[in-house]
Amino acid sequence: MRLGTSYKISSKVLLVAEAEKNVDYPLRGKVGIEYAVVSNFFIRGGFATQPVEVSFGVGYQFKKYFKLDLGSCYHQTLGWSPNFSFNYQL
Amino acid sequence: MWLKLVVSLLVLFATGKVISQARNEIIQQRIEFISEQLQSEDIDLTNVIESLNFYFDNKLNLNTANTEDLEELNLLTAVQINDLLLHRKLFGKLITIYELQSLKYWDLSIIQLVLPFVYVDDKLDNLHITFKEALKEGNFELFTRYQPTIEKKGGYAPVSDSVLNASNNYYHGSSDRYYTRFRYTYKTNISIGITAEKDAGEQFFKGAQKNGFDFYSAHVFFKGGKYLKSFAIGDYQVQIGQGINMWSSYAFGKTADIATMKRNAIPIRAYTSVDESRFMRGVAADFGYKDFSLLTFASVKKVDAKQAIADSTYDDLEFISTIDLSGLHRTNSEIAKKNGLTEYVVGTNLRYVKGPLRLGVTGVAQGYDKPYLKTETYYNQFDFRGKQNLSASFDYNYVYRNVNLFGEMSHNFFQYEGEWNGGGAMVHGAMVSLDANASIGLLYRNFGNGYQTFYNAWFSEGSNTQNEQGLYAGTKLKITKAWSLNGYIDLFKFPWLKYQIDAPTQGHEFLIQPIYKPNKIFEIYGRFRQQLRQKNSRDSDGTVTGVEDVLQRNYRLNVSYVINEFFSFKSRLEYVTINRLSNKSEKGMLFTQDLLYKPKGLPIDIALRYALFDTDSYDTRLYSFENNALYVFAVPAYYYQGNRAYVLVRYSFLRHCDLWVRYGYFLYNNRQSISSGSEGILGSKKSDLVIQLRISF
Repeated sequence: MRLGTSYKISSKVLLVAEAEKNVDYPLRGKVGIEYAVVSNFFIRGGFATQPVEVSFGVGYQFKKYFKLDLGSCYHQTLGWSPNFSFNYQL
Repeated sequence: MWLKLVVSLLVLFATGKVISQARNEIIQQRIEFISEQLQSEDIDLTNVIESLNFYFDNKLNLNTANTEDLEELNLLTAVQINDLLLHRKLFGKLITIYELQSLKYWDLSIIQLVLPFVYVDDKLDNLHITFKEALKEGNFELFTRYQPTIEKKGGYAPVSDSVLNASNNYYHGSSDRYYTRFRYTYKTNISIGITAEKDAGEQFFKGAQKNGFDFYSAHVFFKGGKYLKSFAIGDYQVQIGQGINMWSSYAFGKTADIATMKRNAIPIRAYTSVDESRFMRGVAADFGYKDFSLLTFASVKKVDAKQAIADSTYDDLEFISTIDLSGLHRTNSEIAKKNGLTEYVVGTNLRYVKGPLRLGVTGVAQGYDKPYLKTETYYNQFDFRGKQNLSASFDYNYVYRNVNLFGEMSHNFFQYEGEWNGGGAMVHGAMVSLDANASIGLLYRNFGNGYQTFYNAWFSEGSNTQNEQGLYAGTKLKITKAWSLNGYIDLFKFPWLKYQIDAPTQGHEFLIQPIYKPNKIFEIYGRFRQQLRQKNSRDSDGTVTGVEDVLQRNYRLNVSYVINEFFSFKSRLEYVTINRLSNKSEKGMLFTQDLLYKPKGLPIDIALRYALFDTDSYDTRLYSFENNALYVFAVPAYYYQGNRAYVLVRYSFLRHCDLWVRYGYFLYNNRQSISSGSEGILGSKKSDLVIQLRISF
């Protein structure tokens, strides 16, 4: 189960936070920050606890409907886990 | 809008007193944090406090200040400095200080921070020193300090001379500590000074100390010539690049403020403190021509070292097994170590500065008159051994719009048993001002197993810049007018063994600090910090010792409140827990209440503290910064159970004199003795007294 919130500090900076609970594991806290370098290109960074992980990513919005996101999180023992997503918004 | 800004700035000007308290608070918080990181009670941050105090009295003209001046304040980021310089270039000189509001990356809180140290004037400060003016405008300052030991310690027991001369447990000198310092300064341009100190337990004008004080330091320093930018004879400090190769003074470590992750080097500065090892003694000069600057320095000084007994391998060779940096010469063995080794350091640093770009190359050679050969064990096998260590480094700093990139790469070389050894080290960082109210910092560090230089200052988990890799990311956010948030995360690993850690290990640390400051007089912040490190397990069958996770969590709640112009309060509750498999979980707490009182119409300041502490062990000790006489640093560890109180009074009289008197005690519960051996006290009370007089004219 996950519960999250976001807060826009300014037109360029967005803060996000989330709590995640899996019955078998301890509660995870996650925080992130997104920076809009230009209006459609984003750089992101984040951090999660239990286990400790850091993450980085970029996002690009094009043609109003399409959104491409690339990211990777780093765990000290497991190393990098890259992710990507492609969204099409109707 | 403009009216509102002007009004808010006017309020800032009107409440100068509150601002100066904020300044002390900033210095205090940083020192506190660095001391926690160092896990040591003896720190010396004279230089840091000195430069802020200096600019408080000699405000910096924002129209003429250059990058180096602005960096020396230690309050502005490179992006903010660049912002100001760019503004000056585009729109000319600032007409009023209100114009700072129009700078993109300067918000009200940063202006508030800087305001006590700066002013705006369109006149150029021409450096024009005549002897008469220097004498008239210059500032003379004399400090004398006396710190007795109140409860008698084991080392001062009255024993016969034969016992005293045969044992290493008894101190030769008196239990008082004396300090005196005389200094003449003319703006930031000239400084001439002498400092002398005798530590508790050292002799004074007799025995091993025929010259009186145990430690003397003197300097002549000049800054501000056209080609000769700065110059020092005597004792001085050198700072280069990001500090991984050469940085003789202290620097801030990891703190809740990301701004301290970057080093701002001041090539040469006068040495005025009493650390008996971390400084250079000799000559240094920094020359400038167009975009280039060249720093060269040479230092020769004696260091304390233990002569080892020559074994068969080094039959006809004297060598050194340990270097002692404590600067204490109280017992026979400490006196015997005094000046056991001569250390030579020469170096040069060429810098190229063009607008926002700064590049530097550095070479440093450090040598000893006798070979330095540590006893070899698994963990220290890559360490420096021999007579000479060479290091070369390259550093860079570049500001592009709101991004500041900086870093340094260094390599060292030494010859041992006919082979060249050494290692590499590097740091690369970025500080980005996303907006006026949000900034982030990223930093990567990688220090090789064999890398070693003797004078460096980088923030590392270990005690030196060796055997460590880490990634640090921090942020500083101003969320609303009253709320702000600081935080960082640091992941690190140690690829090789460490002292008392018999395996490669890794760990992390993170901190989150929300701050609520609705107005100038009230502030509350909470802080949570978690550190995970791996240490040797305490369960060992005597053969192989495994490592285990040691999880430390610190919680803090801090409230400060300026009641009126006479009273201000600060309360703090701090709690720590340590969990590890081989031991039961331990906890500790510290409750402090501070009161600052400035009576109306009297030239007196009073600082009071009462604290209660209760910790399960020495491991769960808590450090807390304490107010003290100017340039005296006290960050004692609070551990076991008991209470602590101190009173500090500052009295200003005859226009030129200040007197500080501070008395404090620790009263422990359920203890018949404190510490053991030479430093041991019979009883449950340990008190301290400082008396300091400053005369300045």
